[in-house]
Amino acid sequence: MTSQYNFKKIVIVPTAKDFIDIVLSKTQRKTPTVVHKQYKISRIRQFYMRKVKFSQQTFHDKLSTILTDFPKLDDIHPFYADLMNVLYDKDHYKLALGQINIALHLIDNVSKDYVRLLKYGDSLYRCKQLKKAALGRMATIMKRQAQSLQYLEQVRQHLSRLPSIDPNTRTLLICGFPNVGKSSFINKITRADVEVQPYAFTTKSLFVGHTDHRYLRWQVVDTPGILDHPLENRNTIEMQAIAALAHLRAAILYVMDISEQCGHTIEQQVALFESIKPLFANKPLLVVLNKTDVIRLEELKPEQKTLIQGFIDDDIPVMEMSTLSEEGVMNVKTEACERLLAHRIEVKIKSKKVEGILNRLHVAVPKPRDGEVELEDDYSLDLKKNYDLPADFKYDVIPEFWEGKNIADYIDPDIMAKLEELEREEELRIESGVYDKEEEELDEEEKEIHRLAGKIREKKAIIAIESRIGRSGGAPVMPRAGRKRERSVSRLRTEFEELGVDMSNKGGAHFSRTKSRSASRPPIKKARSDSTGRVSSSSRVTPRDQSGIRNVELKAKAKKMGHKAQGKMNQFGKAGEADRHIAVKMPRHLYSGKRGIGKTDRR
Amino acid sequence: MPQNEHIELFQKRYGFRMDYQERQRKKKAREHKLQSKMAQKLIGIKGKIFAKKRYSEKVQLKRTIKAHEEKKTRKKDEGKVPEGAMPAYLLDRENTSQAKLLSSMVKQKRKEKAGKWDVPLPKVRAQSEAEVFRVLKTGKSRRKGWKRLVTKVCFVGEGFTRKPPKYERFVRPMALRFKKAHVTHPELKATFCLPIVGVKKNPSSPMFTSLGVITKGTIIEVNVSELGLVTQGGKVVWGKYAQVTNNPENDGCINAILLV
Amino acid sequence: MAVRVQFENNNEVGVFAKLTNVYCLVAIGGSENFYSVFESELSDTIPVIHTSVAGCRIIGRLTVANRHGLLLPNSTTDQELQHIRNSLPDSVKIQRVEERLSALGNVIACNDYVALVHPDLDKETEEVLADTLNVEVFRHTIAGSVLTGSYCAFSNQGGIVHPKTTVADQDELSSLLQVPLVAGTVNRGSDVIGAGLVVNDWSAFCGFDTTATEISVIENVFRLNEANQPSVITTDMRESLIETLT
Repeated sequence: MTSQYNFKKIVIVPTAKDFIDIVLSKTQRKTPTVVHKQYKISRIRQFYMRKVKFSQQTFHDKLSTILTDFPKLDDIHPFYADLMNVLYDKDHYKLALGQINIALHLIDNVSKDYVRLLKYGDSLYRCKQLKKAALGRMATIMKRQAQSLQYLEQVRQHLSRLPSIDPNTRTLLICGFPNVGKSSFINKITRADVEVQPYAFTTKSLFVGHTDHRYLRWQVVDTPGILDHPLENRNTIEMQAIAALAHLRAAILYVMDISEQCGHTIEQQVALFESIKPLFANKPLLVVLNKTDVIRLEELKPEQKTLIQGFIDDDIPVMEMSTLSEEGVMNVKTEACERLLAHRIEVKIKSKKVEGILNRLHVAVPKPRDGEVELEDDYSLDLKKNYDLPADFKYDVIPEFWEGKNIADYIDPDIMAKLEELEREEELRIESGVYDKEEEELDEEEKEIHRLAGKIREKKAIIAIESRIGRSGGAPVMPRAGRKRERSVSRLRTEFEELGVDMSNKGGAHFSRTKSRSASRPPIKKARSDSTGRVSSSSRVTPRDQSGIRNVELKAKAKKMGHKAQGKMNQFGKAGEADRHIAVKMPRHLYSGKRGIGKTDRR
Repeated sequence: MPQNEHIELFQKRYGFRMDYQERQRKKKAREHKLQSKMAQKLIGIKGKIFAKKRYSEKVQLKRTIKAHEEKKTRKKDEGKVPEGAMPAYLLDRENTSQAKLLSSMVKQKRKEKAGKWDVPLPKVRAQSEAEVFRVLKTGKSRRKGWKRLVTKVCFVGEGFTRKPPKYERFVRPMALRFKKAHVTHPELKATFCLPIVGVKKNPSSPMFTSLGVITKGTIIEVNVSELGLVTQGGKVVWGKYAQVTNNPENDGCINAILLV
Repeated sequence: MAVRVQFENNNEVGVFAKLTNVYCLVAIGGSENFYSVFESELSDTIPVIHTSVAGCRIIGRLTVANRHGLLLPNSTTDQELQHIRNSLPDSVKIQRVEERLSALGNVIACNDYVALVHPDLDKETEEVLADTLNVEVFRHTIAGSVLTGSYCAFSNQGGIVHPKTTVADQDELSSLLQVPLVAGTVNRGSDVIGAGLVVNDWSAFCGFDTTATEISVIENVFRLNEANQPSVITTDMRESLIETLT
């Protein structure tokens, strides 16, 4: 928030001479320096154009930082605008910035013109002259701004030393005649360390200090003393105070000297109060009577008292204090802070801002949890609650009817008693051992039947299980082809023979292997082999390493020679016959496009 | 003392070091050593700048010394009144001597009759055509060379439209067209930026004159209505001739001297 | 008293320390300033222990602790575990938990009786938490954020929650936790309360940037002084709060 009004960051404004030196030396340093006349003319032109453009850009940047750094009087808080008007004269300030802006545009135009001229430069000499002229004209333009630059530098230095007053924060503003003890008061409540001297106009500018109250930081502004004369006659020192009074939304502490040691009577002080009263509108106001160590309010003359009484009648609180004995100083501060805070809160509550932070102002107080956990509380629909009946009838039991008869009529009233009777009887029986069965004796035959039946049941169960396993109960079924062959003609034959059937003459019974009926079956060839024992039909082609070799010795020799010949090749890792490869299968130039004139492989 | 002036505040509170004044004095006494060291060491442009600065300082110094001495030495007042001196109360009286006026009129007339211009730059280097024009190649294969580009500054009249490319023999580029000239009045010793009306004469060639090429020594006509010159008859003069004194193509501006 | 501290120029003290009513864990840092602040405040009454967890200094975000116990993430090394066990009183149970959300301090906020946990926390971790720390566990969010440990800090006396928590949410949380709650900030407007503040029933440590208003809210809601009551925030401090917040 304060950063907006921190004028310490404005960069230094150099004097016109320095300005030119800075830019020209920067141009010299940052652009190429070597050019020769035998270079191509476009290169020479480009070399000088770059210099011109670079200088223009540097001027432009520097001037536009000045323009952006200095606060615009229309954009800043009216307090600062007014203060700057008082201190530096608004017209002068605006004029100076305006001049700088004009210079900026002039320089841009000069550069534009000369770059255009340079485009038609036809020799190094001409280009160089043009560059020189361009830089010279820019420098001249800057030289004319010497006054503005000097003024702006002074403004900058002063601006950076202004006390950083935040116009929007909580502020206590101390005002009054000169020498009434304003600075002593600010020294008492803050660490501002304002000079205090026993003569008027010791404080010649605004001073700012900070104090703490209610966890908040409060800005205290000390103003130079004001005399009671019309606004036009006020000097710069007083106008600073007026600017602060007019534009800061602060609590005003109007300090009065009731001992009249300051050289102004109480009448004069009240008159000043009345004349600057319009500046206090809508601000918390406090009249502080200082120097009570010299004279107290009660000890004043009656006519003076009536003047003071006038404030009280106007609902303006009057407080006494003595900055010398520190009596009442803290009370004054507290009262002023409280009043300003109340005022600010009132304004803020009227605006919508507070709604956003209402949750921050709430302290959630725990409600006691009922019981430990009461989670499932069954909800039952109470249909009878809303009956249009007198209250004592609502929950009467309604008899249940079935087939026109009241069910209650058919219920034996003492059925429960009867049930109990029966149960008791049963209990007695159990106790007496009626149900204790002894093991029955079985004879031999019955035992045998039981055993057999057991076996049968067991067997049945096993079969059932087996069949269940055998059946495809999700298990994969093997295909017939993969299974072990179960049936065959030969096995059938042997089995039959074992059984004693004569299988010797059963030609018509299809026991023999079936003959293929296909007529296309080729006749079995006789294998023909060559001298080396290879079947000649299998391959007609002789391997390449054997072709043209007469006999085995020759073959061995050829092989040996081959090895020898290859040895060198292998040694150097050269590509041999075996490394043959085709780099590109279908070279594009041979396969694309129409065939025109030229050869097949060279097109 | 305002807030935030920490250096001043410190000086006010604690003053200077005991030997502050002494140190300052010695530093000042040493200053010339640094000056001479710089004067010996600096070379090139920096050296020139330094020497010039030093020279102007010295001149200034000598002048002030002289002025002081003049003030100190008492001069005898000779009581002689110089020729043509006038008392202060008569200074703003209108008293042009009729005779002088007449003589100047006669002179002017004679000049006009002679039809010769006594120009400030009587001799200028002739500009060859090769210098002023560049050949532009045309045609599909850039074989034809009938077109010329003017490479000097020109004046092109208002409302000029270029011919179609086929018929445009001489191209005068926009960048080289000038409308204003810096004209110095030799008697007023003042310079004005005046609009050019036309090119009267280019000494190198009549063709350049017709093309409006402005080189050094060219006579141009400028609009002097701004100056508020009045003829003998009391009419406002608006067109006057001026001679160009610089090379506009090298300087990017036209400087001229008014011919009176 | 609430004390302002800094851990090697970092204001997020809750990241580097863990404070309970019977012990205090402090990260091992390059400088001992941080540690000595804690030591001077606490060492008369409770042990202040240097430790790292899984070799990291961010112990406050990795662990969850109260008077009854200490939960450590699975990444804690055996040496660290032994060191902590040796330094803490026997009454404190120490447990290492295997949990996907291993920054336990970010996902669990607790005092000696209740814990607010991230809604996605493992069932097992929740059980371990309830057993080790003797707390009732509630799965909840704070101002729509699931990182309960980061956005609130509470002791047995009171608590501060994320500044955007609505009034209704505050009431609900307060009746769950059975302590007075207030929505607030630390470190000049930082909303990560858990990182900017460590607190037990009689002391609090917050970052260096914490403003006077924030400190006084902290002191009041945690009842760090005899005179302080949470209700003061709505009465005496109301104006200061409105003034600073708008």
